[in-house]
Amino acid sequence: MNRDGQPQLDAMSSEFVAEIKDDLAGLEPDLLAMEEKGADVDDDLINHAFRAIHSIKGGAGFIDFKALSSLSHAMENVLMRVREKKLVITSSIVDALLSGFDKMKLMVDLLGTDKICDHEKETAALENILKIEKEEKEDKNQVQQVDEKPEKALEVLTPLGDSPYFEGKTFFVDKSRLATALGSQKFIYAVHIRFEEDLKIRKKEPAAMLEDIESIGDVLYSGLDESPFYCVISTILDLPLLSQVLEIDVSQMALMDKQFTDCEKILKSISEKAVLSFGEAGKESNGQPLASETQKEEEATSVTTDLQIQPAPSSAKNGQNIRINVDLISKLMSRAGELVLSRNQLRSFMETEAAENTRASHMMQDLDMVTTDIQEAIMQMRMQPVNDLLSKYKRVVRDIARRMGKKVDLVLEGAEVEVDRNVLEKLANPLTHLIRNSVDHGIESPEERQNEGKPEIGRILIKTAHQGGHVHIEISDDGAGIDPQLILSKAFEKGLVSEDQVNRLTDKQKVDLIFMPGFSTSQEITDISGRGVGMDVVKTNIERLRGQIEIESVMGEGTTIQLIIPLTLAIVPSLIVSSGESKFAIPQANIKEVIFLEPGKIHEQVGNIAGSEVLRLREHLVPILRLRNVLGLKTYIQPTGKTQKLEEKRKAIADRRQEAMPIEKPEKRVKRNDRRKVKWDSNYVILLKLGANLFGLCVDELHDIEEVVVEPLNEYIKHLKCFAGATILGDGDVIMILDVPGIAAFSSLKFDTIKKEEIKQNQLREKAEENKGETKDLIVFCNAQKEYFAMELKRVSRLEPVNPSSIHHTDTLKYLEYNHQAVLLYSMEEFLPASPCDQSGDQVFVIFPKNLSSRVGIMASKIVDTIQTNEKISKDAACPDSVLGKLFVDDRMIQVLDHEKIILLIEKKTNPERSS
Amino acid sequence: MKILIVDDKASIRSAMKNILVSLGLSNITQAVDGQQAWDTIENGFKKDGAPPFDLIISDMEMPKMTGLELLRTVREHRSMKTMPFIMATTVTAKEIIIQTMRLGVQAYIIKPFDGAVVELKLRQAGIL
Amino acid sequence: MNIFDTGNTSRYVTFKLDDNLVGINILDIREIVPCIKITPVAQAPEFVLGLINLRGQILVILDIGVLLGMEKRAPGKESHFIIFKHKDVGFIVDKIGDVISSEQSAADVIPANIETEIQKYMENIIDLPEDILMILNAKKILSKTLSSHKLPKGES
Repeated sequence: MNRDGQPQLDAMSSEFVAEIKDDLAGLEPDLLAMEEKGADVDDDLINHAFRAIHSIKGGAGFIDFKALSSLSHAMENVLMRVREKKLVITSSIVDALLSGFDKMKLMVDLLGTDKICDHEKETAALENILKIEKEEKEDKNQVQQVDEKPEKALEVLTPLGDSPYFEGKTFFVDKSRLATALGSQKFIYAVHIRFEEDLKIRKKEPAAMLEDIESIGDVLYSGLDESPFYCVISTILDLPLLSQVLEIDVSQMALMDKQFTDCEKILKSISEKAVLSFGEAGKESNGQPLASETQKEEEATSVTTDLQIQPAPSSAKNGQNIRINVDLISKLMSRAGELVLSRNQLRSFMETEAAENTRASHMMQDLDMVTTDIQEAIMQMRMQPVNDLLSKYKRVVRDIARRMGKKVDLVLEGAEVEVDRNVLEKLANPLTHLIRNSVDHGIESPEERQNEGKPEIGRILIKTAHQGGHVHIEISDDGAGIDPQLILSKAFEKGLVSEDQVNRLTDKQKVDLIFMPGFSTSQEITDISGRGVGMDVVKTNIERLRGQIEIESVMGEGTTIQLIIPLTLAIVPSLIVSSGESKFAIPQANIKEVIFLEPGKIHEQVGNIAGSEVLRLREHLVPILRLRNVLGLKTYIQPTGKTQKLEEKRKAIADRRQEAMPIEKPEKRVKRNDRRKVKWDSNYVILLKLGANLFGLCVDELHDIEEVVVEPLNEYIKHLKCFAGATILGDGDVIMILDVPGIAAFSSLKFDTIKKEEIKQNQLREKAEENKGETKDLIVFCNAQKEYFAMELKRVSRLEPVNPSSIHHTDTLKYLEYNHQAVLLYSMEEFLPASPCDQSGDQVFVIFPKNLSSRVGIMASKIVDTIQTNEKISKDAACPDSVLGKLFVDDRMIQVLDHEKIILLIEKKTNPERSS
Repeated sequence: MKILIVDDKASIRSAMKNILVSLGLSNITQAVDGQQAWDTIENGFKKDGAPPFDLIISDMEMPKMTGLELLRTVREHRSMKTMPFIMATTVTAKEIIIQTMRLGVQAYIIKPFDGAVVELKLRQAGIL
Repeated sequence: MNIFDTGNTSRYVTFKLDDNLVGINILDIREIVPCIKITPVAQAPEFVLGLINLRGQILVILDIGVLLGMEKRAPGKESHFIIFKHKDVGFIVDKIGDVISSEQSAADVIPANIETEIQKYMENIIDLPEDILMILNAKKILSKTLSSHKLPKGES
């Protein structure tokens, strides 16, 4: 047991703590509203506040948080009197309640730390309120004597415990009534009542006391004629409740013997755990942390129940909300980021590999839509109404105004506008400063205001509105306004402006001087504002959110400050990568895909065009950059067997041979069990979108996707093109956020050259594919010996072996009698530079080409072969017109005939008149 | 044995529920305030007019309808004049305790409670 | 009124940069923190050591030794960061020394043989019994470094 009244927290406790926090959050506005309404306060408001404090007390008891429990009890006592209309709310009462509230909040905030805080001052202030009230209450009732006679059949009862009030005391009670009481499992108590302290001071008659007792149980014995007098009563009430009803301290009461088994022990623990009776609040006794032990057991118990009503969490006003841990949302968010990335990868895969499959593309569309919805919904989850922040300023304004003797109304407009909770958190400081300034410097004292003819109560208005992705927050007051002349002379005094500037500045520019570093208008350092940090810090903070601040002031009429803050811009889901020993964040919006370069296949995937490395990605060529080269990062390699690290000198990926030296990680920063992190020598290419272009960025390792808050770069590094900002990761490390367009510009990527090359390569490939599609069958024949010619087989209708003796020769023509027809024969030397056809053998062949009269043939001395080829047939300068080109097969040079042209030549020869 | 637990705090409802289940009482219905509790009771009356629950364990301070008001409403109903009703609350005002006693509350459970206390109080209320 | 601003006496936080004892007016300093993890910024000017996370705020840490013509330093065991009051900027020192009070008139004139590069950032020199204290001017450091730093290489 912790002596400081601090609970030991376990898993179960966190739910109680969360509920206590909720109740606390709702309490402050109630207290402030109660003060506002004063005597006209309505019951609902008091009841709401009372319930909150009551629940806090209950929760505190459960987690054995004694300090909170006793302070909340003191607050509850005061609120109870208010509820009973016995106490009228005044500002001083609200002061006491608010300081009690502050302390409770502090206690809860300090939970889990080893810090503790005392609450004597607050409790005393609260108790003092009741004391004053009691003293004011005058009651003149007379003390009366009441007689009560003992019954006949008696039993002896002895009080348990060692209370001095019952030392050596025994009681005689009616046996049958005792039996009835015990039969109905009631508790039997002896009560010691002191005439002076318990009755007279409370202006209470013994009869009234007896009446109280009878209303809650049976009186088994009473000795009203004695002083002190004793009662023995049976009741179902536990000791603390009995003490409450009778307004007598628990030490003056004792359980009796003959009680049913084990109830004593249990009751002891109850009275020790429960907050003590009226007037005893603040004092604490030690007890055993029974509840937490049994709760642990209960957690282990499996529960099967027939729930008919779904429980609505207490904190939810409309029963539609549940409590979710912020960390969980952040985790969900980062997972959603990964989902989006995977979706993108899948989509680009589908586009190329399964574009034809309509079923798959429908599924892809569904996945697409759902993923986008999820992402949006999660972003939505992080949005919080501005009111959550602004409502806190009611208290701030009240406290400062009260301390300064001013009267100020804070009016909120449009506070339901929602912004990302991260933005909201970062707005808290600057807004506090601005609002404090308004109360401190802006609003005048009531007297001054009356002299100026203004209403006594000053007014600060905070207007919030959405406008095109930004939230506009306007803080205006109807105070004194800012004197431009005063600002100017201060600025001049501090050397912030030069003499010639003094004359040139407009009033607006003069007022703007308060944003200069080191400027603070407060004459002296007050508790409220002007603690050495001024508007320059506010401005810096707003700019850090990528926001703007404008100030406008009219002397005597007031000041308006306008803030324009992006709703979410400052938070960017980013992929965390590392290169060498540094980590970087790449905004996810820029990422199209992540590609893993297999160490053994780098040559196939990566090439070089005009000095730039390119990645072959399906039919595209994508320029790639190595992050470590772009940024000039040093990387180290450690050759096997050597302990000294060497600087990595190889620049291009293609230089990395498979047998490259094994590269070791400098530290064990990568956990083995994380599948996304692989060895250091693996390369990932992050495919980045840049308008219509794509480029790849080569990194060593991939880490998580994180929601990073973009911090703008300090002036010293603002000019660096490659960075969009810096951010702090979850583990506290500062890393740079890469600027994708900046990197592309910095590296002067030659998208045009690469695009041209891509087109050229694609054309070539298309052509090659065309050729490939037409595998040709050629018939190879000889004219003279060793002069080879070829014709496409499909252009040949038939081949005939003939005896050379059956060929008739005229001057210039050769005829063959074939199927009783004269067939005109030609040989290659008639069309081409070639040796005469060798007819010395036993056989010659006649080739009948298609698309030609069947009475024309080509003579060949020999048919060598038919070959199949898909090779490109190349033509050189020596080729005659009628030859397509030359082929080299098995050391033979084959001239492939251009069929069309040969036909033409033949026709020309056959019918010279017609063709000319 | 059908039991209705009424409390605006989910944590306390579940703590109570777990204890009851460990005592073998598993037919449990929950309500978040007096109003919801009463609606549940009113809609749950059986054909013969018997009340839908055998025991109500209620918090005192709740929005909409307090434990005291729920007790009063329950007692006004003919069939539930003596139905076991346990108040589970922190130490509360004298007047309220007296009023609930007059309305015939069977037992008080002081928060924080544990299994042993609840068991004792169930016995006191004649449940166990 | 600021408690440090009484009379003509100025108070200086002193520190070591290599073997030199250097001081800076305490009024220009927000705080002094022990060395914490620093993230180097690629392509930044040489005198920018990197970024740190000081209680959730990102600050730039300079190496003012580089400005004074010394070798670039790496954080050591006794290194500290001194954070300037303005601009979210601090700098690294090798070791923190005492706070030294000095009448303004006690300041010696800057000897003419000190390099002009160093003179740019200096306010004056104080002759201490066992050492010489070189007082740097925070405003000069901030304004000069901001206006003079070069664009990164590769910029075209």
